[in-house]
Parts: sequence; C-alpha cells; structure tokens
Amino acid sequence: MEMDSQYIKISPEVLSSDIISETLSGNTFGVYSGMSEILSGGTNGGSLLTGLTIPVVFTETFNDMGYYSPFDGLMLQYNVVTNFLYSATTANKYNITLYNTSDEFFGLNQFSTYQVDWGDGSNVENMTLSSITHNYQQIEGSYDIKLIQTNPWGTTTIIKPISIPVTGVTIDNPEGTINFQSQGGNWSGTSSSYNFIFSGDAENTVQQQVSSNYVSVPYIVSGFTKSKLTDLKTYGNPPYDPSITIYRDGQEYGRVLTVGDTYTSYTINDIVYYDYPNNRTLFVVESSGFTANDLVAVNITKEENLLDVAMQPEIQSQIFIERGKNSAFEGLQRLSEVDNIGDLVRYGYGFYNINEQ
Amino acid sequence: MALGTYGTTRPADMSPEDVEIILNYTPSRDVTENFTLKKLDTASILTPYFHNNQTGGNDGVEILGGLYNLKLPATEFNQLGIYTLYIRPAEIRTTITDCGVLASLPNVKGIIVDLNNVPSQYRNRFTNQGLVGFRIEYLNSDGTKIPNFYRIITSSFFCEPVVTNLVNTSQKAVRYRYVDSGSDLMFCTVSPTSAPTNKPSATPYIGQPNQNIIVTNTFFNPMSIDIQVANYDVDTLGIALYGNQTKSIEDGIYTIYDTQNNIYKQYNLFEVRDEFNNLLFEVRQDRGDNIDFSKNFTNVIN
Repeated sequence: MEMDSQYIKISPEVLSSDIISETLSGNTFGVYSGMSEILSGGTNGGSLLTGLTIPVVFTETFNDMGYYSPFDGLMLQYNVVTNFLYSATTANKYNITLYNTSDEFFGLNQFSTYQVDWGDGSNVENMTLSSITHNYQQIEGSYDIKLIQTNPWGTTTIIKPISIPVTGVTIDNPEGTINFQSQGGNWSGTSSSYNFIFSGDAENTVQQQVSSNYVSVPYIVSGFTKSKLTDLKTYGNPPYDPSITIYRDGQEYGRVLTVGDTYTSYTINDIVYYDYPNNRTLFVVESSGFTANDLVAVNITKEENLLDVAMQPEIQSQIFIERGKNSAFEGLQRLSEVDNIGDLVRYGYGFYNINEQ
Repeated sequence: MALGTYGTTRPADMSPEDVEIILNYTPSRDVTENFTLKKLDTASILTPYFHNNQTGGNDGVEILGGLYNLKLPATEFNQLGIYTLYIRPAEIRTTITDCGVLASLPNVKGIIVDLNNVPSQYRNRFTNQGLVGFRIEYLNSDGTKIPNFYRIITSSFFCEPVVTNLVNTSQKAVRYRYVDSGSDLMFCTVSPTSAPTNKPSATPYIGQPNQNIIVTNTFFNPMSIDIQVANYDVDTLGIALYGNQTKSIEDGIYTIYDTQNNIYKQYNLFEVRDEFNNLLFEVRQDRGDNIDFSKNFTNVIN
C-alpha cells in the first residue's frame, strides 16, 4: 500500500471570504482582512471561515490475491476409479456377494485384474466377473474385505469392514439431517442440526448451479465485418447456390440466403451476413447475453502465485488425476484414452518404436 | 502467457464511512512534544464528487471516482499554524471468537468473528465475501499492537459450528460449515495459512480465540495532508511586488491592491524628526483594520 502526501497552504489570497466588500462614492471594492482576523473575528472569537474545502484524490493500489485457473486434466474420486459394493440376503446372512463397481468405462481399468481378499484367512480369489460370492462358514465376526486392483500403473487396494452376519442397516436420518448437542466450549449443550447433503452436493453439474436469470427475449447484436461469403463457395456453377447447405465437420455451417444486386445475404453459424456492393458486410445475430449454455463445469485450482505465495498442490481428497492436455493445438492424449496402436503412436510422439506388420 | 503490462493503481471509490481522518495541530514547525490527535467525523466532512452531464457518467448518481471534497471544519481550523490530516482506511475493532477449520475441508483454517462484537456501523461489511481483501492486524493481551504483522482476508462466509468426533471418541472438536445466512458468525480465511513445504509443521499464525484484532479495508491508500494556515504565501509577494499601489501625498496613506484592485494592505507613511527638524526615521506603519476606504483604486484614479 502506497502512501500519498499533499501540502496545502492557506492564506488570505486564496480565500474569497477574506475579502470584505465595501462601497464608497458609488465604487464597490474589496478589502482584505488578515488571516488572524479571519480566524478569530467571529462570535466569541471563533473563525469566520465556514466553507473551507479542499479537493483530495484517493487512489487504490491493488493486487490480486491469487486466482483460480481451470485444470484441463481428468479428475475423478479415487473410489470411483476403484470400488466395490457387497450385499447379503436375509435368507443367508453369511453369504456375501461382492460387486466390482470400478469404472469399467475408464480406459485405465481396461488393463486391470482384480483379486478379492475376504479377510477371513481364506485364499485370495481372482475376480474375473463383475461379481463374486463368498461364504463365511457361519463364523460371526468383523472382517476387512479387500478388492485388489492390479494394472500396469500400480496396485490399488480398497478395504471395507464388514460384520458377519450381515443385518439390515437402519438409516437414522434418511433426509441427511443430523441433530446433535455440542459437548464442550461455548456451545456446550446447544442443540444444533444440519443437512449434510443437498442437491447441489449430490449432483455437481452445470444444470444444478445455473439459474434462469437471463434475457428471455433475444436482442440484436449487429455491426460491420469482413465478408465470409467465400466460405460458402461451392464447385461448379453457380458458385453460390441458396439451395445448398454447407457442412463442416459433419455440422451445418451455413447457407446462402439471397443473391441480388442490392445485397447478398447468407448465414454462417446462425449469424446472418449482408454483403453490399460497397464492400461493406453487415452482420446480425441474436443474443440472450450470458446464459446457462455459456457455462461449463471445470475443475479449478487456486494459485496464489500473484501473492508471492506459491505452494505445491495440496491434495484435499483422494482423487485420481490424469495428465491434462497442454494446448488446443496439440493432439496429446490422456493415458486413459490410449486404446489402440494409432493412439499409442500419437501418445508417444514417436518415442515408441512401433513396427507395423 | 499474455504479453503486456497493466497498472495496479486505480482511482478509489470508497464510501466516506470507510475512511478515518486523524487531525494533528501544531502552531509552528518546531513543536516536538505534546501532540494532540483528534478524530474527525468523516461522514460529515468528506464528500465524493459525482458525474454530471459534462463528465460522461450518470448525472448525480455515478461516483466520479478518486476525487473527493474535504471540508475543513471551522471549529477545528481556527488558528494560524500547521494542521496535519492523516487519512486512512477505517479500523474495525473486534474480537476473534474462535479459530477453526471447515468441517468438510479440515485443512482450510480460518478465524471466526461474532458479528455481535463488531461495531454496528461496520456490521454491514460482514457479508458473504464482503471482507475479501480486508487486512487483519493483531493486538496483544496488554493492548499493544503486534508490529509489522498482518494477514489478508481471502474469503468470508457466514458459518455455524458443527461438532465432529475425533479419532479419540472422548474428544469433541467444533468445526464450522458454511451457511447462506441466519448466522452471526463469520468464517474468514486468511492468507497465508498454509505451512511452507520445507517445514510443514510451521503453520502460520492467524490469531487465537478472544484476541482483539483490527480489521481494516484496503480500498484506498492512506495519505497525509499538511495544511498550513498562514498570513502570507507566495501570492502575497506577488501582490506586494506587482500589484497596483497608491500613496496619498496629503495624509501619507500607502495602499497596496491585489490583481482585482481590492485593498490588500494599507500603511501610514510618515517621518520622525527631532526638535531641530532633523529627519530621524522614515516609517511605514501597518494600519491594520483601520482602512481608509476613500483610497480605493477606482476612487483614486478617477
């Protein structure tokens, strides 16, 4: 923060109230009073000055306290990449069926093998199907079930405790409300409650976050630009055919609307252009301002480097982080997207010596 | 990376309520002790300028930004001498209610402020994200201020406490969760709060419960204005040297006029002689308030 300083000197010459108007023989003129008289000439020796003001300029020196930047990699909860569920039936509370819920659509898992350690001293079983059943032989107790995922990038183990026999679970707060009393401190004995689940937490998507507070009636945005008519040019005659819709990358790109002496109109990506004979091109497009369509959900990370505090990334949850794409111009693939030889060639940037047979 | 430069100084547009003005008066420059500081009522003497139809903004509504008018109250500026105005962001004095972490993100540390401990005139600043950028300075228990130490508030949200079981089930710990409203507690994260990676145990100090703190906005840079109320300045010299002057031969009244021919000073010119009519002195005597109005410039030259 900077400090500004000003120096101001106030003397009779800069005070209009210091000049007392007098009239003599029809002549009106002013007479100065000394500053001392001005300051003490009022009632009870007070100042005669009432409206003494000075202009002051304030400035603010600002610094951004870090910023959030989008992370373009892939980020998944750890227990989504590798996880399992288990169940038992009322009829047989000692038979546990384990369901492998590891994200099978996640490319990384395509190379994985799974093993199950039931935690009761029995042999570790290979798991090749999506589910596997185990019998605990009527032995009551607590066990740790382990699902061991092995792939070329390491071994991941998920452990969940289980009590045998399995009984029904009662959910005390199905709405996700917890009531409690604080046990110590200033809040001791105070009843409190909170909802630890709400829809925004449960489904963190754009649609859950946006409101409909946008312009419902589109307004016109218009101006002049360069002609884009040649983008719609086709082979043969006529080169600009209003009956032909031009496609790019499988998407409708544009179409010539009218061809005339006064103007030629065409539309490209829902923007209407008018080319006039004086080489001026008018564009007209409808906008609704900032709408939900403009929002995308991205992971963001806080970077404090503008505050001169550059810390290493801090893991706040168990997540799997895939490397990101460096730029829009680079055909870099994430590791999980490599699922054929062609992808491997692109992924490796020629690093791998691949013999085609 | 973008190429270019950007400035970091902008005209401030804070509310006068965000400003604190301290006045110090000394009759002369050589006063070295017994300084008496006085806080002025900022809201009544500091006024922002607003746009008008000539300046391009919304007339009378949109603040111009940067330029303010400071009224010097006659009750204070009533003597010759030097007045130093120290203008700085207003200080909000309150107490840390608790230091805690978020229940869902335990590595997010912050201080909790009870709005009931905040002076009422500043309570409206304590809103969700309303304190971002404010600075916190800390006081010791003996009232002294911890020098050269401050933290910056990076977020502020209403919060409420939740009790979380620790690993040792006999222990309970109060943590905090954000709420939209309806709470008197505000959770403020400050920076820095993360320990350096080369010494993870060195968590930065952010305060402690019941500690008195000073919360200050950073809306503008502090400034000082040195105002000297004096009888003369350089303009006086200009009037004395280059202004119109008249000398009445009949009564010896010597008059000095300013550029508008207002009577600036009037003197009596006379000689002092001894009993033998020998000239002893030529005298120029200030007439003070005893101005001879007949010596106004228009009257003299017509």
